[in-house]
Amino acid sequence: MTGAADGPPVLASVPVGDAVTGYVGAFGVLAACYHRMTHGAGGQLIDVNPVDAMLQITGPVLSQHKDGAPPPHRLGSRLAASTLRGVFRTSDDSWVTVAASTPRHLREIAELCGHAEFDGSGVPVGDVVPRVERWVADRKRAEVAAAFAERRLPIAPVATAQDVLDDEHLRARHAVRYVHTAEHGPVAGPAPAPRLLGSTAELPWRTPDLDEHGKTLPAVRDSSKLFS
Amino acid sequence: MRNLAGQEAGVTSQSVFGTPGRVAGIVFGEWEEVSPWAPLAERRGVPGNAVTVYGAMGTTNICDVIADNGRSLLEFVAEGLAYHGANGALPSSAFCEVFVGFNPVWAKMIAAEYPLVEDVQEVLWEAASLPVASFPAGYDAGLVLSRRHGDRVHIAQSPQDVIVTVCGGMGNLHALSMPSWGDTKSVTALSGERRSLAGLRVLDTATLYAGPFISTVLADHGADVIKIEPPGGDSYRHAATRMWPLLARNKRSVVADLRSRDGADLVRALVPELDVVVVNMPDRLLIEAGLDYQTLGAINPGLIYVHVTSYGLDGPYADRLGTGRWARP
Repeated sequence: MTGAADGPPVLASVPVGDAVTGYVGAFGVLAACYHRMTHGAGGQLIDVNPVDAMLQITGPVLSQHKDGAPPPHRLGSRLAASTLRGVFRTSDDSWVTVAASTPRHLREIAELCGHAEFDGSGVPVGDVVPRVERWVADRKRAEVAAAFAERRLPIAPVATAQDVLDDEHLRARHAVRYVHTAEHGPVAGPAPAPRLLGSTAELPWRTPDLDEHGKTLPAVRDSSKLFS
Repeated sequence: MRNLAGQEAGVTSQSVFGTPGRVAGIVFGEWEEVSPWAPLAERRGVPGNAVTVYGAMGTTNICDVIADNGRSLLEFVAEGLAYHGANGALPSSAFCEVFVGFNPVWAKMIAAEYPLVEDVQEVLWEAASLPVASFPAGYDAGLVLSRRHGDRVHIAQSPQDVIVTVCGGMGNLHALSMPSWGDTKSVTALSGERRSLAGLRVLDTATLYAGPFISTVLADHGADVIKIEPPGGDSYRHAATRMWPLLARNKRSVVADLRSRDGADLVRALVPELDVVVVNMPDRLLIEAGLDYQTLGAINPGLIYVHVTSYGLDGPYADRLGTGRWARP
């Protein structure tokens, strides 16, 4: 489902399936812990795999599919029900995301970008996307963002890794943390999610050296006291 | 006495210069369930399990054998709080507190007249006072001034400084009091562990991304995760993709070769200690190594065994490979 409608399917350039599977697995552990603790159950075998996990992400594609009809197809950046949802290049070679979530958004974005034809209830007639594309392409990112913001229209710059590191909101919330590693020095990574506000902990934010805790190995063999 | 509560008199503890005895710590629990008032920690806005630390004189017992109503009992107890030699009453010029613990029977009787703990504090504070004139000359001007109201010196600066709790058993004879030690105030904080999954013991034998990431998420919230690495280290440890910090943060590292008898023995030796084990080897290899769910679950019936595979544990594709460094043609 990812990719332009007339182009090939596109894989994500980050391993989405692994991260989603990891969270699904962690949820399974907690559900089993709760079951053991609360219902007096024993332990159990948990079957974790990327197929079950990623089916959660592709849920809408399955629910939209009707027997006998052609299956849902790639839509570029659009959702099935949206008329305007896309990523557009600005004159200073940056990208912005524009998405109309309400009729007002759609009407006013179309007006702003010079779309001429509207029906009696203010719905733009014809495809507004080429208009938006041209309007954005003639302007710098800051100019586009300001014009949208002034009209209370949703817009989001497409962030690079550097943008994420520099973002004042994310910085204020310490959403990016540095992991200290012997192999790579300090490396940026996401803070734990979700945030448990009653029990948030400052952890030793580092990776272990190879076999750092294996020194207790003989003790493990003798008495299983590695955890202490 | 040479050694008092672990301190050597006059050497490591100066407090023993001036007091004939020393108690290192008194611990008692507030009986929150029977208290007619909100528990102390809740009144102080600390949710969950909490501990209050208080630097105090030793406990003073206050006995009453005839009280049959809240007001007379509170006044009687208050007179026991205020005495000239008490630390709070005597030298605490900046701030001080006094701690009062009522048995549940008395608390119930008091609460029938004073359902608000603030009113209990008020009555105690008002009555726990001594006439200024009763202090020897020299005390009247300076030391006791901050607690002087009218011609009386109170045990603490304000009613809020009278700490009221419910503790002890179902007897109805005694209260305890503890004036604070000089200019000191108690602190209430969440007790113990703040990491939600602390104590959860996880063994991560998985490789690549999805499997290890399960226990990364658990470690983020305080689980104790040991990552088993093959000799030479996990394949991501030095990889230029720098996935290692995303996967190994806050874990411990133990090297073991799970293909060897020793390595598998190590895992089996740990199993009784574990809550969770994460594996992503094919079933066939797990059975060969004696690390399958049947074997480990028999050692520890409480074990939560997370098996990460490519397609799930049953169905036509169950045996297809796709994850795990042990994948062999």
